[in-house]
Amino acid sequence: MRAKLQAKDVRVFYEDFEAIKGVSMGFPERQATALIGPSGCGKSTLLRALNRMHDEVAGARVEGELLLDGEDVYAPDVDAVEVRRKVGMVFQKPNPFPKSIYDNVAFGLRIAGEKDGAVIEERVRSSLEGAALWDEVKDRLKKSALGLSGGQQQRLCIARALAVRPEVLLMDEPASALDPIATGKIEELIEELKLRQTIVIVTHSMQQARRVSDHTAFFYLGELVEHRETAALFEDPREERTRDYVRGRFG
Amino acid sequence: MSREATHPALPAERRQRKLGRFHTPWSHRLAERLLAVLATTAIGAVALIFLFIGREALPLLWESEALEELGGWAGLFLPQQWRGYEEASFVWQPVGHPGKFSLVPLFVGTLKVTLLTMLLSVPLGVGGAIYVSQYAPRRVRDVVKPLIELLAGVPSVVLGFFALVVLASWVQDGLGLTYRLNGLVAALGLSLTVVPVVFTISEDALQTVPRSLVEASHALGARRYQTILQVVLPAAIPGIAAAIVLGFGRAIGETMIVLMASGNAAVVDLFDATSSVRTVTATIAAELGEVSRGDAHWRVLFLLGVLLFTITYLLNQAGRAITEHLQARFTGAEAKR
Repeated sequence: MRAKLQAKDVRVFYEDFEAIKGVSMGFPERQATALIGPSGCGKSTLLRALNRMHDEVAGARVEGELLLDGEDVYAPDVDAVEVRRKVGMVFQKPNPFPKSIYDNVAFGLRIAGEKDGAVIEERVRSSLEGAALWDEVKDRLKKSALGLSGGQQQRLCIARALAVRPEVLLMDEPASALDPIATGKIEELIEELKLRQTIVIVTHSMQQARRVSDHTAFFYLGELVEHRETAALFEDPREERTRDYVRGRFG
Repeated sequence: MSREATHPALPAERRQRKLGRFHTPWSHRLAERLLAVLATTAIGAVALIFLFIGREALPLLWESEALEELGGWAGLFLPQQWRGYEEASFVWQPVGHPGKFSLVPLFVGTLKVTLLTMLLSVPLGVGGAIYVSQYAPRRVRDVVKPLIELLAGVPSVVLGFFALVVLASWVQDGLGLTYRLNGLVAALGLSLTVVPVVFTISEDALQTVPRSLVEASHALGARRYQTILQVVLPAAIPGIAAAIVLGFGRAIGETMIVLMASGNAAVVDLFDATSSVRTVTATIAAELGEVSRGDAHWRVLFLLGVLLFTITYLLNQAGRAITEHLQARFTGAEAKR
């Protein structure tokens, strides 16, 4: 199985604090990998290292190699902006721009220099369809995205990320601010997205990790404890700490 | 262990119940009343100022004697043919014989100085705010922002003195002018007070743009300048517009700096920045102490006040309308209310 993304001894520092302590793991192509672990274990920190979001944070520093299709995205001559166009991200809280629904989805294309209105229109439609939102918003594309419900907003953010055709989609607890029905829709969506994209999802919910992911990595205090196929990790954890965590002994 | 010992607050709670459990505590009600009184006082004070100024100016409407002395409404607003002038012109010479009371030069002067000031201050203030909030390292921001805010606290007479002594020389040498004091010097001096206002409020507005929007933009592959232009600035537009409106109010109302640095000759030349200028505010400040109460000159100075007040009010309203329009445009046709 080919790894789309391969981390090699990745370390993330906030000032002097080492939040990720040398993680090496692969993210298989067109599969979903879930990152789980208790709060503060570094799973979100690792996720944000995957598309160089730490570049924008003062005091944060990443060491090690991260290979995207075999090319180190932390090499000195690599432009972080180009990396982010290939590795998209959906955040914990829905964060649509205070613009129209259409403009939200078109944003990534326009800043990438796409001028052709027809191309943008087509891509807005296909992205909204891809995020299972088209039918709900097709009559109100010009209205403010802030008028949508929380679940719709989150799917809009997914559509917005899809519009630039990323090869990898990072999701940072994408359903944690949503109600169960909206969560279900997001999870169904992830199943579909896996057909075309490599997904990395951080989640607090072990049920969610079991439902949507093919592989699961358990983190504890900045270290990768165990990384296996999801079913195996939950049914038959090898490590003591993993066993305690997935059986709810600590959280 | 008795219940009182574990819940020491219980007796007080019981006492309150006698008063009715759902009453607003009297201290809260008092505080609310007090706030209402304070707010009303502030509004009342503004209303009284307007009433007082109006009371001194409005008699012009029915005191035909005073109005005649001013040359009628035509004398105030239309060009007049004066002896010694080649053509009909706008002249403000209230102590001449006869007194010439055209208001036009004063408003031209105010408009010119204000526009020049805004032309200098808005790019500087907003640009500085963008740099400090988006590009500068935290350490730079922690030093620069308080320094610029300190400038807003410098008494305007000090800034006027600085403009009169230092800026005037620079402008004179730089542009090779005959006269030291002119509209440009006044505008530069005024900018020293307007830039901090525009800068501080714009910077606050830019700071409050949610981090999550900026991250969303970065994650979509936007470069920093793209994020600033397309996400941060549109989200901060209402605050920046408010900053400009406040800066405008400061510029049009400022008196001491223009009085000291503008030269105060009532020249009507809207497009020459280096001619001398007499503004409405400087005229009121310079002349009000020297007129006898209740005569025509006194009344016309108050009329100037009323007009300035009205114009400022209208421009503020226009600014607000433009802000709302911009906000609607940048946030989609219907912003959620």
